[in-house]
Amino acid sequence: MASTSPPDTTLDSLDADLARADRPVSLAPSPALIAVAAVAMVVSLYAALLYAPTDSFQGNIQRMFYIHVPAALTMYVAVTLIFFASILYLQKRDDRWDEVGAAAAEVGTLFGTVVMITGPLWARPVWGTWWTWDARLTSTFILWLIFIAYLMLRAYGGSPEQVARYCAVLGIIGFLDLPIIHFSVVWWRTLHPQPVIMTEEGLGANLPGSMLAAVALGLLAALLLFTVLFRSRLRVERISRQVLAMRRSLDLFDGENL
Amino acid sequence: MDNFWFLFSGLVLAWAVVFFYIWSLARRTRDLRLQMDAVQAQIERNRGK
Repeated sequence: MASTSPPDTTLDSLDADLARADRPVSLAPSPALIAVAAVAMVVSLYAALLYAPTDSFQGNIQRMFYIHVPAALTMYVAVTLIFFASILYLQKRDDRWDEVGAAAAEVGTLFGTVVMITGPLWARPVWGTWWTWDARLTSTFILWLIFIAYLMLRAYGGSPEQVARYCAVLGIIGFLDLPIIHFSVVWWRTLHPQPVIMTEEGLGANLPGSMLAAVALGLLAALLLFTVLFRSRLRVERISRQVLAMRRSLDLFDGENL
Repeated sequence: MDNFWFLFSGLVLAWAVVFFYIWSLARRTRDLRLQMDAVQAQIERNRGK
């Protein structure tokens, strides 16, 4: 076995790696899905800016509602997805659930960032301040920090197994913040308005029909965008792990052979 | 036109963040494809030895 060529078993393993390497392609969002998401985003922008009526009290700045709220609800979806993926990873120790958690966390951070951008820009003209440490804003900010911590842990956390385990625990902790965020405006006195979509009277019961339609379109567009980005990010995660595994097999870490 | 610039800034910044992320995903996908091709070429070279 003094030859420079790898033993057959390694070649078999690499063949298997190569066969698996084609799988992530199937995760890519189809052109049809991307087109539907793009159309939904354009239509939702039209609904937000032109179709929905101008709020009599807040004026045009209230149109931020059609971006801010769908982004926040999509962030809820991401956190829920991370939670279930984390539970399943800790239970089964299957890397695929860790990949789902990693992809959902990054895309969730994106939607969380949109919430954190649009919120203060809406608050300044209406409340007279960019930020206040009330329960809803603070709990949302904490969730955003948990997202950032999750991504930092992924990047700098150590061995892959350790990172996956710690991230799963952090993903579960992040989910615990979700009911606090949602019910904070009910449990405490806050500047932030009460829920207007998920209310005790029913979904959007207190909203005029045209506003409800515009926010529903915004939510549909945000969920479609989330699906496209999540699948793309999941594919990146799988390819990245595949490349790492193949490079390990080939012992190419020094990069000299590339 | 009330508070137009706040709404405009919110829309532009939100979309800028989304488009930056899409660009970063596309770049990472392309880089990984190049790495995958390089590793596959190395495998073929090793196979030929």
